[in-house]
Amino acid sequence: MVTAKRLILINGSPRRNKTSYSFVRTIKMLSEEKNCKVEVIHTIDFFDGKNDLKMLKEMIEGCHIIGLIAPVYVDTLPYPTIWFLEELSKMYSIDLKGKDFFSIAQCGFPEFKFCQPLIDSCRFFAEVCKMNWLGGLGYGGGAILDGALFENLGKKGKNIIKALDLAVVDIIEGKKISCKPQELLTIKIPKFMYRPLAAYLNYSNRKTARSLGVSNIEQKAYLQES
Amino acid sequence: MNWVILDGTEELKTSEKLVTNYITETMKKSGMSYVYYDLKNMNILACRSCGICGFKSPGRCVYNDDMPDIIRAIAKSRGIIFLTPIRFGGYSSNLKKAVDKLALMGLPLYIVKEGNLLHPMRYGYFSLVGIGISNGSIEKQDEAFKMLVERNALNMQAPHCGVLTLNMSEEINDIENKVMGMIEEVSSW
Repeated sequence: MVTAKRLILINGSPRRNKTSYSFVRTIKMLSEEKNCKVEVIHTIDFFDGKNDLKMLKEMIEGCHIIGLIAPVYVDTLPYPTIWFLEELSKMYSIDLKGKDFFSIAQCGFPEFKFCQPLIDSCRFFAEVCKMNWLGGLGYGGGAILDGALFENLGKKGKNIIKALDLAVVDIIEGKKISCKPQELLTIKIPKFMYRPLAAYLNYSNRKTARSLGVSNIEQKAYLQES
Repeated sequence: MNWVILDGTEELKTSEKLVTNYITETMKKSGMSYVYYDLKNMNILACRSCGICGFKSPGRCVYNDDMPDIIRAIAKSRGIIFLTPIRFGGYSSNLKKAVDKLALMGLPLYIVKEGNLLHPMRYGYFSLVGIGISNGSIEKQDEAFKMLVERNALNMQAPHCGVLTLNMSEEINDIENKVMGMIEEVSSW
């Protein structure tokens, strides 16, 4: 009899219910469809002291696969998530040894290349803890999704779900994630579109600021008060 | 004031302390002035990506912490020096708590520069130096660290960027020479 795989999905975002969680939620759903048992944790709960890191021992011991899904903050993992990985590597390196590990990074900029340092950090975390690195995926344009359910995003959402489904198949089989999921996740915006896109976003952001009663979003806030 | 040093090293590591001291001494000898922030002793609260600093209170975090002091110092400087143990090919959490909040220096607007969609900066443009310390041979982590500093420099549109990785298992003379070389380069920018 084949034992059901147990996964821990880590939401590495300081925000519990936004875009990283949309990925977590979908991977959980897809994994459960394949008879896996999935537990979801949020790094911010440990960082804020709402949960104790000691509670992870039993969970880690009993799992086969760990996945970290996180937003890109200033080019890599957010501070609370680096803290969380530092603590895990100090407390649980023996328990983590030999477990499968993968990551998904999502960033605000359209190019997924900006996810690379985050994925590299996860790969090195796996290396330090002697885990089995299954690979990482990057999604550019995550901020625009704003925590939406992928089922409600039409063709874009379908592509994301398809990509994650293919990745989940590899992950459950303990294989390295193939190239296809990254191809499906990659949004191809031609470079010549960047200038009109920037102009549109600037118009839209200035309008938002004005609607909030802010006339100058370029103010040097911390120089004005000193 | 020329430079702002953000020190993300840890309290217990004497090797890291030695590097910090050597860097600041060499900078003094080279006539470079600096403001030094020992981040482990500072109250810098995590960025929650609440978005308020984008529109409601542009450039200002809703949480009161020590970050405004650092930003004011950077605004008057030529550049920033990140000092950190190399942690999983990147920054320590101790450094990253400040780096995350450098996002306050970006405007919620976009420009296109050399084919990249970037945020213009609120206080001007500053050079960036990343100094990573390791305690053994971590060649590939060195490369990832370099890429991270360069990405930060790209997003900050830093006029100059330098990256130095120091392996504490190397001879102390070699480490000193590397630091001196970097400081010489930086002082010519």
